[in-house]
Amino acid sequence: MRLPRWLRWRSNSELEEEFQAHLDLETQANIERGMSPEEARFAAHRTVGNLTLMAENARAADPFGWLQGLRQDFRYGLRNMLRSPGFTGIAVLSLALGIGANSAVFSLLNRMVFRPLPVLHPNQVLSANSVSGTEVAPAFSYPNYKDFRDRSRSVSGMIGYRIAPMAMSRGGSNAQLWGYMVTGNYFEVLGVKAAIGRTITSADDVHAGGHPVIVLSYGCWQRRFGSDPNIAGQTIRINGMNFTVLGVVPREFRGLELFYAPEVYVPLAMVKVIEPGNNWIDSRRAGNLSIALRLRDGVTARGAEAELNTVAAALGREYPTDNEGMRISLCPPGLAGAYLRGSVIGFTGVLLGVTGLVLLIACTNLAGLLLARASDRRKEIGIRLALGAGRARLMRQMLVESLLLSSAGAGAGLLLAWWLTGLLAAWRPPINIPLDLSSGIDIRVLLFTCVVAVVTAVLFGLLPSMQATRTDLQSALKNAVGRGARQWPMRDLVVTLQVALSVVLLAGSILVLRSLENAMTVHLGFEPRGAAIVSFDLGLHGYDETRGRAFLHRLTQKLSGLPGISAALADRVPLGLDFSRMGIVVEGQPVPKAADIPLAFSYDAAPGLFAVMQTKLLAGREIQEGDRPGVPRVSVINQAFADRFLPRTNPLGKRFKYGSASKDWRTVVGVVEIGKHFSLSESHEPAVWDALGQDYSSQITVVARSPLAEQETLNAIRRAVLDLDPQISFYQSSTLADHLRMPMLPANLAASVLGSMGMVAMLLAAVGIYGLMSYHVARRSREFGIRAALGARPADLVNTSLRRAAFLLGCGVVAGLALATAIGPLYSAVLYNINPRDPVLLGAAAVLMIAIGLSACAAPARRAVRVDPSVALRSE
Amino acid sequence: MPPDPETDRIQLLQGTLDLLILQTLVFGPCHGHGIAVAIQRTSEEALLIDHGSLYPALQRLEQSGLIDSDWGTSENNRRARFYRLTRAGRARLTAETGKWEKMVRAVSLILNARKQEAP
Repeated sequence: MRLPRWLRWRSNSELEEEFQAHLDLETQANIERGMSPEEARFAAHRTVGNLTLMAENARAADPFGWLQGLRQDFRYGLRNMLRSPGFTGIAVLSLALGIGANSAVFSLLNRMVFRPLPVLHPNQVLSANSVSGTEVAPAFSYPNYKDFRDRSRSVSGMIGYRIAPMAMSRGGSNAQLWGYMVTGNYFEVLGVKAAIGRTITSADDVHAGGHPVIVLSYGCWQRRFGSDPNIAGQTIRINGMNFTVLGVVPREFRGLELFYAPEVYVPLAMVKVIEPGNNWIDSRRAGNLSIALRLRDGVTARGAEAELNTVAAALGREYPTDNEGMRISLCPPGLAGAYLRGSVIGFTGVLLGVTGLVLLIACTNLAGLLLARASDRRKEIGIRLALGAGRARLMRQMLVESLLLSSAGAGAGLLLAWWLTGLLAAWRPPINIPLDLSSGIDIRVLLFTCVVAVVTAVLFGLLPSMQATRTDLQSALKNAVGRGARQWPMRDLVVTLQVALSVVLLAGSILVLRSLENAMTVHLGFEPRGAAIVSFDLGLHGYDETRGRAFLHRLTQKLSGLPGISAALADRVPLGLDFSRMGIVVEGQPVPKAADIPLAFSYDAAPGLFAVMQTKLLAGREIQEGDRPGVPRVSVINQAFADRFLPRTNPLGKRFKYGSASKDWRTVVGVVEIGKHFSLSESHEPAVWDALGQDYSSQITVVARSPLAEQETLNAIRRAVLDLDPQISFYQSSTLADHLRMPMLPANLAASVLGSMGMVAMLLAAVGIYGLMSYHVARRSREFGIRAALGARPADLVNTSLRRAAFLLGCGVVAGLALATAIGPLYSAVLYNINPRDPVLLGAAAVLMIAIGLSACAAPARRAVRVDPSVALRSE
Repeated sequence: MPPDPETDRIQLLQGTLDLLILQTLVFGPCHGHGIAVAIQRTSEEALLIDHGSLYPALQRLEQSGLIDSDWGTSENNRRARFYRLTRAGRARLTAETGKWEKMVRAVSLILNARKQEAP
């Protein structure tokens, strides 16, 4: 078999053999001409000339000879790497840290932005958002969904879905399941086929309450049903009703929300069973449904958006009380429409920027080390230049060495990224919603890592290789210190840059740590320590309003009998993922357009809630026993509500209602302090507490406080609930402090990730400065020796050696501060209540950097003082 | 690739040397040394082949598919690489020979014309 011509380059040994044969033939011919064997060989060598040169020339004629050279370079590079394992280890480790962190963050970004959803033609699928004021959220009502679906011409299908918890009972045990309620066309529009059985179809979503069918996710089928192949057709009990399992969806399909891992899908027609007592499905004003759509072929997102807005305008004219002013915007699906998209991608972007900076610092560090090594290799390089090696060839060889280092770093970095993403996927958030944070390493991540590796190699390798091959031959061969002076500015620049970048990162870490501290001590409007909560939904366990009220009455009595524990009921507590907001219309004030009615957080409270939560009552009274059905509805508002809706008057006794269509006026009877309701970064959000006795809620949270350990309090209230009905399953059961871990998450995450990045940067910078100073002192040891011999005092020597380092450090810190000030606003996405240009915090970063830099100089400076003149002078 | 002064010189000779190699191989496969000796001998020692530039030329010709090579046994029973003409090489030889003859004719016409004018 013959190889293709371009693959058939000659190996060295082949060429050598061919030339040797040539030489022998020439010798033979000479002998035949009558020369002595000795003479013949000499003559042959003379005619043939330099064998090595011949081989070189022959190779040069081979258009693929450079491959051979490259192989040589790789072998030589590998040998070099193995010869100095310490340097190689440090280089590979710091690159692995930098590249690994980048790959891990990129894999997250990849999942959110680049990887297509496992649906048919994913780029046709978009998420719809309703825009009102500054708020953009995927929140629609079911009647509006139906109108949009039926009137829009630019979409080939429109689906609605809603995340919903439900209770499954099977074999005597209860479990809380998280799933989706979906419109009947959901799977059809997304183009998802069942892995087993069939999916929900439009025929399964026609009559309200008439389609008790359910589709399982692959994971649910595996975990809860032991991968039973005959699952289709079986019956399971959901919220006390029998549902028939239609089938199982493919493993990779998890709905449209990227980080939510639903277990089941139920037709929206079953909403009254899934969410008993909740009547949003018929209300045109509700915002409980997410909408996604598939564009018709050839329609652009912009075109569809324009058309949907004309539909929205028409709906606004037809139903002005609910829809006036409604606008629609479209965005890629996956992160709760546009609601989380900005902040999540912003956070990941900041993360990528920070890891990029760390990598850049690692690069400057390596560039510094390589520059130092390059000057140690001056002699070797000088010899090779003298022997006729081309500069380009030498640079190529050094770049190959850099590439080897960065490839090793990238390899180790991928392992690190793999570990990090595994860690993230296994991480359980402090709530019981099934999240799926796995991001995985796919081909795009690999490609990204390769590109990063090559770019890094060029970044840290190019400069040193250019420097090294610009050697002055004479002094290099004599190994004289000579005109190395030209190398200094470059090395200085590298260190200055490194210090500057480290200051930026350090400032970032200090900012996020301070921000975390702020978040932890922020005034919440209640006291989390010492309290515990349990939440459950009576509707999921077959209670209607009458039975529910009776249950709550008995529960209140039982709770009041618990020794040493004060407890109260509410529908929910602030700062959970589950919240409710209502449009506020105040008596005697003009009613704005439906879309512009301002919202307030709304809760139901039973007597004693504010005392248990330790929320300060500023005026009026709490909710009381007497606030029952039949008497005028009362509410307690917070100060922000008063400031916003009832400014410059006494709010007590004023009336308001929820939405312009409502007839239920509520009288303000009390005012409490301002607190946090949705996120820690909000300020002055208006909030309202209605009387639980007047507005029944099937969703109940028991809040309890006692001097006991929080866990004991928690156990006591759990027992109290289960004593009354052992069937009840809690969807939340934790201390109130643990409840806050979710809202604290962004600040926590930012502090831990950015904080550790800052530490890494600091460490790298310290290593860099230490390396530079050590090298500096070693190079000048002879000079120091002479100075010492001439009577310089140790202090003078320390001064001499430190002056330069201190100067560079100063320059770097100033540049870093300028840079940090310039890019500061980019950080605000992850900061809570902090000015990213806070001079005190930036100053702290600067001081910290200077301290670290100077301490990194200490050891080399000490070495400078200890130089023994007699040794130093004799060393060369 | 670093530019190599040696390669420059080869390129000057290239056309001619390539032509001579191809012509030599018309009589059958031959190894490098044999080609050099044959050219020298046929030209009555007028053309001295630089052995150093022979192999790059062979390499180039092989790369462009004009000749092909295989290991064989030389007359003194050593392993040697034998080169032989390919079909493409034969065609090239005919074309190049034609061109060469044209050029020689043209150059000698000019040189002869000068000789006549000179006196």
